[in-house]
Amino acid sequence: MLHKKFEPRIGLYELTLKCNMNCIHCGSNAGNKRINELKTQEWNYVTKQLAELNCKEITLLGGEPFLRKDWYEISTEIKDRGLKITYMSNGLIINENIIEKLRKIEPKAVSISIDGSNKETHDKIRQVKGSFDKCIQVISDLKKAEINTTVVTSVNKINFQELPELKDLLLNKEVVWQLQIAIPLGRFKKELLLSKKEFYAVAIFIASTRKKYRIKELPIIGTHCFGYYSNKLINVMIFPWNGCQAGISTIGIQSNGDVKGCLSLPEEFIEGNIRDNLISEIWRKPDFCSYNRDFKKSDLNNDCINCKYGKKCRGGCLGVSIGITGKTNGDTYCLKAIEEKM
Amino acid sequence: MKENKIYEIGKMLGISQIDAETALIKNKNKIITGVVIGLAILIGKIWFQPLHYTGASIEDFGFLMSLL
Repeated sequence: MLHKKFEPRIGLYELTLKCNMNCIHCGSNAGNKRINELKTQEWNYVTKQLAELNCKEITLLGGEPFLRKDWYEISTEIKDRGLKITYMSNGLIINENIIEKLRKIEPKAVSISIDGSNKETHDKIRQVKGSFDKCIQVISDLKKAEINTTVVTSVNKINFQELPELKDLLLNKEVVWQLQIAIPLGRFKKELLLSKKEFYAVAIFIASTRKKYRIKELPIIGTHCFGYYSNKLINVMIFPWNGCQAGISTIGIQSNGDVKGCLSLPEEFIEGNIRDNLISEIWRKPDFCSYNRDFKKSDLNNDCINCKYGKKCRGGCLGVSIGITGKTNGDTYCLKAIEEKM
Repeated sequence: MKENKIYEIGKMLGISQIDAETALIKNKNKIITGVVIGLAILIGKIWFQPLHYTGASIEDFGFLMSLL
């Protein structure tokens, strides 16, 4: 029997690495599909196994998940097993036909990326002309179909100043707005990373916007890279930060079947393949995600070494820590650390 | 960090001092947040999530925000 402490409640499926955009901040370096990506039946078997392990939610992402012709079959299997589904999409190919199928799936949310307040910025970051107009239309179409829709914005130096305008654009559109910082992984160049001051400004922006508007007007949330234990600002994540969840409550499966604790982590964190072992066998391996499961305070790096939250926080999001500092367990983009230094 | 510094940083995104003040945590917030989130976890309504990938659904958002 699995230890309840470690239960894969959230499964992340990289359905394909194929993508129809070429975003400058893509952490997965998506574009072409991987060699030997999983077939429909293999994904459905993954779902069956995860459902048996008490998984509650699956997020389908990519690449662009809707480029898979069988996304609906895979989604139906997930739904039929009683799991919730979230989609992370760039929105470019979502059309009437896809929306009609999405209505049947009743997803928890469909997330569409908007990375600027205007077509110039968004299209420049996404490197597809016309994508801004298309995505804005898709968001409107999803809402008309009464599908829960989230707008995801990855903030970098190019679009940082546009957040107030983007807020005005999203106000009263009945969408959730999720902000995250673009991390130097994959294609993203470090010189476009926000400074710590800009990062903190975004946190103030999220917190003050949430206070200024009612949920019906604009629910806004910072993802877990906005944290972790500010002594000054209200919790911009809403959910409390309790350390990286890779291998604790989360499992990530790449489109070729490779398994990691979380899809944000680099290739060296691959710990098995679903074609070689059952998911339960991988999840139960004594050393699976040992960086989290067997974490010791001595694993902390950078500013986190003497932090009183170190044991609980484990140095922030592992992917962000590696992307920004090159080290594990020491994310320097930490509200608390910034507050202590400024 | 002094509060004045927070107001100064907030100006980078055109946030007024009045708006920035609302972003500051109050002791009352800490207690209410702790109780509500603690209860939500206990009854299994939420669990710690990798928010990059869960789409910050209104489903979870609405539940928590209606209480906070």
